[in-house]
Amino acid sequence: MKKTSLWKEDADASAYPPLQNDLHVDVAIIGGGMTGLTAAHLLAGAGKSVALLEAWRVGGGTTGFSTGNLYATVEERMHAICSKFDSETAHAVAASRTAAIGHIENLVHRLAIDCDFHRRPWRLISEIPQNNKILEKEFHACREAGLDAYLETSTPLPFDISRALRIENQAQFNPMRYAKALAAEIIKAGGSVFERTPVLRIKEGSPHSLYTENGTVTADKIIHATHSPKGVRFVHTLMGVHREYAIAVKLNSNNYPEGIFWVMSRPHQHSIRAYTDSRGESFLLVLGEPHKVGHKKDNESCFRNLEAYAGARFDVKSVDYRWSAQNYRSADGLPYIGALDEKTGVYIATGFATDGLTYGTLAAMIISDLILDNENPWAKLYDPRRHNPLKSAGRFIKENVHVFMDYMHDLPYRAEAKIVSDIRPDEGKTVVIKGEKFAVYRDEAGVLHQVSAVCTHMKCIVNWNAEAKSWDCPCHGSRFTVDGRVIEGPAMIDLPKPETGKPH
Amino acid sequence: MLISAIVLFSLAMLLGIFLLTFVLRGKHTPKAVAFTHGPLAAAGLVLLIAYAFQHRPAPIESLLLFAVAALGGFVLIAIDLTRTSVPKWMAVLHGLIALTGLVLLLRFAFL
Repeated sequence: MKKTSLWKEDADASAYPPLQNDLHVDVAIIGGGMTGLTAAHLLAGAGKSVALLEAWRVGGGTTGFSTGNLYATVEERMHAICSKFDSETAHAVAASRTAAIGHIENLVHRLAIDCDFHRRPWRLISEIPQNNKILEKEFHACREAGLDAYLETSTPLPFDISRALRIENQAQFNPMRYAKALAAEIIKAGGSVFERTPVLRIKEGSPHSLYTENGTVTADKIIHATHSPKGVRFVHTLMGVHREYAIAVKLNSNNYPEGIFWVMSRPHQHSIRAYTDSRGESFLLVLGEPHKVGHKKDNESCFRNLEAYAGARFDVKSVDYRWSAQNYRSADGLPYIGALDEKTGVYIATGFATDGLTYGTLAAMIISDLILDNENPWAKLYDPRRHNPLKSAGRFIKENVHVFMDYMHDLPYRAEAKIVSDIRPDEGKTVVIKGEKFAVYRDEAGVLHQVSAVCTHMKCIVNWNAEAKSWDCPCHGSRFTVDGRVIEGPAMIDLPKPETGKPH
Repeated sequence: MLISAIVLFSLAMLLGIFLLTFVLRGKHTPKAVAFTHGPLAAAGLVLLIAYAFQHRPAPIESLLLFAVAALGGFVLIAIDLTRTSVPKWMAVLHGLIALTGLVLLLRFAFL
């Protein structure tokens, strides 16, 4: 069983150099995922000079750990958008997301991208009659949103269902292969792609300066395509950060259902899809078990739950892959896409929930249009400066109470382990040493990896993620390796190591 | 009401001194203490404002000093959360202003 995503295994490794010198461009893009790559491709194609700075590998963040599903509806349900906003808004959401899928399809065909793109139906499934009412509500909302929705009583799934909502003409692909192909196209269009180039500091001005280890990029515009914008920003208070888990299994029957299946469960739904890789091997992907980042001690149990869920519904032969990914849920149910301030030329794209492949593409389309002074019909809908306090209040309060409570766990001289020697191999715990909190991981060989436990974003205490072997901040979702390097989230600075350079 | 305010300010002061020891040593402040210190002082200030509205004479000097200290407190917590370290002089000044306010309040209440 491999602890990585199926997509990463089924795509060629990219090799773009790190930035080694100073550079001036029209647009600097931080993040080489779906949003950053699509925006870079659009802007480079329109004649802008573009530099894309990826901290790790292109597509190696959330894009490479996603579902590969593209759909016009949204995870938090269309009926929620209808009731929170109105059917006109739901219609605009569906139309904008449909346009984003169309953009991907056009690129796949025009550039002959080999990423297994297929149009497939999307289904929301109720296994028990008690869920049918919600399903019907969603059916009406989808119809109001202008989607080609139907109710049915049977599906290609091998287990009994009560009812299903079907929307035709959605899509699936391998997001990693698509991301790698887009990166190559950016280079062809005259843009620059730099991997292993984390941005360490941003100085907003005219021009903006983005400092990296070996060079500074100056740019007229910045796009934060990092899933959550870098630095301290108000938008972080509007979002809840969650992790979700995935497994890819092989079946004895070789009967892999085609399409996107969201099966309603309590407390959370599961997402199911099939994929056949480039070697012709088929897998069934089962995703779900979300929780707030840094809030689940035994997150290995999420995989056990997924395996039990899959085993109860399919003739599982083997579990071959498992991975997890992070998502950010906005306060009002719509993502924040656009300029933080038109004059300063800083753009963000965040709050996609688990709908990021489609929203990421849409975000790139909107931001590119804003930069190129083109009209975009959806720019206003997703404007991050929108004011709708009543629609946002509930989640805003809930998330910030969570953050406050996380801060309240930072008691003086209290940590998870009393002394470093209490930490067993392959275990991570916080320890107080000389009045300071450290995050200490003892690897399987017994070597200690010790870094400050204070998140460099807004000073919450990080928590151990046993599944991903990372230190995760429960407040705003910054994640760090065992050696303190920023993996993702709003933090830009690594967790500092003890001053001596040696574990205490 | 005045006694309650004095008790709240005194508790806030004790936590403030504890926090100051972290700031002066250049260490991260424990946020549970920082987020208890602020609300305690704020509750004291609310009581003091309520007292000032209901009674004459009122401890106006003390109230003004606590209001200034409160503003400083907001700046300090904002810096503490978003920057690498809190300026020591600012933390000391905040503490001295609040302490002066408490001394004046004690004098008003008991002398």
